[in-house]
Amino acid sequence: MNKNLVYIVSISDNTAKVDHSLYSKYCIQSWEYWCNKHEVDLHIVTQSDPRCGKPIWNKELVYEFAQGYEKVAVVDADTMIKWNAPNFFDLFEEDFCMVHDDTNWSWVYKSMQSYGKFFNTSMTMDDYGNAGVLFFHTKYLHICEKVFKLYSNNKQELDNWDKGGGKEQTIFNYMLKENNVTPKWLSPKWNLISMHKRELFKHNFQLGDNTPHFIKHGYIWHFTGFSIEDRISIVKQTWDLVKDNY
Amino acid sequence: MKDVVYIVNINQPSYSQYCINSWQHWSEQNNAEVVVLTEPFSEIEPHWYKVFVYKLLENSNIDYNRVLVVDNDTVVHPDTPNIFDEVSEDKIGVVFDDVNYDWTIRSTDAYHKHVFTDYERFDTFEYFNSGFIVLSKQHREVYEKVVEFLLNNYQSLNWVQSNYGVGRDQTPLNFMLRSFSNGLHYISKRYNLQGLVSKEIVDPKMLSEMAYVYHYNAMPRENREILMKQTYNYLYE
Repeated sequence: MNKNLVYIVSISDNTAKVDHSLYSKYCIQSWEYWCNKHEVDLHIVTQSDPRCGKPIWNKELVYEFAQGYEKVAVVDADTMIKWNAPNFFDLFEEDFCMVHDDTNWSWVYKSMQSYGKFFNTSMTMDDYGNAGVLFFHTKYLHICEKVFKLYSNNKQELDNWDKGGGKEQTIFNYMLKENNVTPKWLSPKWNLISMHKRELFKHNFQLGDNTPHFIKHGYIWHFTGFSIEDRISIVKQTWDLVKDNY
Repeated sequence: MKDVVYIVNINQPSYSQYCINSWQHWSEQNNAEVVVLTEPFSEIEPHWYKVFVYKLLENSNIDYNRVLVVDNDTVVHPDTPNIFDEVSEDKIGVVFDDVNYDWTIRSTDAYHKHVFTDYERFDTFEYFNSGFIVLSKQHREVYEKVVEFLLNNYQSLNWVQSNYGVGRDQTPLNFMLRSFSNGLHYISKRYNLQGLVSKEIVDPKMLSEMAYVYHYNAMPRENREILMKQTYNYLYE
């Protein structure tokens, strides 16, 4: 057992429109390489816990699995880490780290309004991060436990949630705020979301550099913000471009 | 002595009325004064007039304490806290520019290759927007260096814009201000919310609850006029 852990939920859900493993298999290969290089344990959750409705809630169960580790990263199965990304566990001590999620402000606004009913606190965009890449000291595992308890206590409603605004992310952000956890905000390079909107799939054609910006300037590429069908294609294309480095 | 909100408004596009009126309202509440430059004063491209802020204030005998240099396509919420309290006087206050990284990366690479060869190629994700910069008297010398650099390298700077189309003042300021000053202080994006269309937030009510200063860049001019008017009317009429 190493002292740090990367935890990924990658469950093939029978109710899903497409097989998520079609893209996650490439993402996981990148994490396997990186974890091995930096002597970090990697745990992939492939079977949903019976307590969970939607597979995504298995993320919160990291609080049970990660006991005994010093630091943990909970990352989504649609993230790929660059082969030479430095060891992010060296970036923090006893912190909770995340990257701001501010590429779609109206989505966040509506999501905050919808999920705010579960909390007695308010948030601004300065408080709001993306839950797809989280690095933290295990002293914060109780936050995941609290999120899971909230889910369990409201399972019927949350499993049938039809108000939009995502699933666990906004709840997680509220829980951090309500428990007075101020995140250490990391550079976007550690969680490049909405890459298409921010033109990061392009390259510097003017200087003859064919490497897409996201590969050149980012460390963790988060293939989100577009359709599942596009995700499968883009992740596959990315892997074909970079796989020889792993 | 008052703080100054400095706005370059050459050609005075009609949308700028919403900008200036909103900043005047905010300034009245915050012991500040709006100074608007409307006349060209040299052969230098007007995009660069922002860097002459200290010279122009002093030539106009305007006494100042802190200075906010802000673009004429912004609208400020009337309840915005005092922006000058967000930044200590020794730091230059800026906001990340996170709208179109393709443009900022190509711009940074081009200026680095052709003009700022000896400067550090700063991190892509630390690029700031030059449409909202918080200064103090301490930065007068920094801006003297900027003006000196501009005048000595004007042809090269123009050459990059002519050949690459990657902007005039913003990227050079990114190189110079971080190099010439004691450091930048990044303040919340709520103080310079850019790329409203890309970030899918143009509704005035939503804007008013989420941010303080709305920057109507990265959109067609006709949309800018409509959206600025809509937000201004919501906040002030």
